[in-house]
Amino acid sequence: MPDFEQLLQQNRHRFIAIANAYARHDDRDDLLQEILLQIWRGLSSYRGQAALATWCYRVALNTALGWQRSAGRRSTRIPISDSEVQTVADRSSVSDPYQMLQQFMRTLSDIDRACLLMYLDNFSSQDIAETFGVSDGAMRVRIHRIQEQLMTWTEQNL
Amino acid sequence: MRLEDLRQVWNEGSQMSAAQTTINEAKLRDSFRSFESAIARRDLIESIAAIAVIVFFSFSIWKTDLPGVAIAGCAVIILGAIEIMIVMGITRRMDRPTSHEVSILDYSRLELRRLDRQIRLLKNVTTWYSAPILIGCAIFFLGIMLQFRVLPTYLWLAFLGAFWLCIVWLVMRSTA
Repeated sequence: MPDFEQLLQQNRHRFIAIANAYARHDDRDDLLQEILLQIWRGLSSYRGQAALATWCYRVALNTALGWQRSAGRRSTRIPISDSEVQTVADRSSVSDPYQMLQQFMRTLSDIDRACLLMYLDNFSSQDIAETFGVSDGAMRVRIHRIQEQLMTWTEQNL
Repeated sequence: MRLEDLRQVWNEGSQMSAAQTTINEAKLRDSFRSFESAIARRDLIESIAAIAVIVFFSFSIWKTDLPGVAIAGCAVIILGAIEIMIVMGITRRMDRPTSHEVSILDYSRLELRRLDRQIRLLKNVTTWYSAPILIGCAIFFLGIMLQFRVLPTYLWLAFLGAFWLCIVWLVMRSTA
């Protein structure tokens, strides 16, 4: 069984990125804690069928999606306030692609967001497809659609 | 702008963001352990409460000189408590939180199924939870009342009827 603290050290950037993608700033720590709790609880049943990083993603994404569906957090997209839109415009002028990418992510559906997170983290379409329980072909189509949405979004916002 | 080109940007940004976030791993692990203990304690208290009801009414039947109707009421309460324990036990087993390790598609399906079961259970709470205990209590008090004649029968029945309706209304309201 992998050591929890070691696993956390290796994957903390992933968990934090997922928490950032699915929670508002105020709730981020709550979601991060929930993700880590589920990882901790599931660790004893990890048998190495999938790579540890893929397993971590699966548990963390399921937790984040379930957390969003739970009472009081029913909106499928995190609404962007006017001030945040202004911030995007400001940031685009100073060319901060990471922040812009985060803003783009918030315009996506929950599932597309999860898909993009894995894709950007260098997972293959096959690994992503396996995590989602769909075929590789279907996942490639989805990634292609996200690419198109990104093109449209950048045209409109940059 | 292509997605592939953004991978490096994303990974550098994520690492930087993670470096700015403090997580105390040992403290986190300890808090998770205490959380698990709290859950185990809650389950234990629930079981003890149900067993206490069964023991108390069994003792009443065995050791006290209750009238026949009150004994029947005790028996209904005991059977009701056993039935509640069974229903809750089965549901707890069936409704364990869905494993987070399954695929996202399966997780969503299982969560929906779990939610459906919970809704059904809540909607029927008056039949499987309230009814057996309330009916048992009604019979028990009726037996006591018939024996000791504290109040006229119709007053006892009116009181029990109103009490029962009040409980049912409260339960229905909380599950609506």
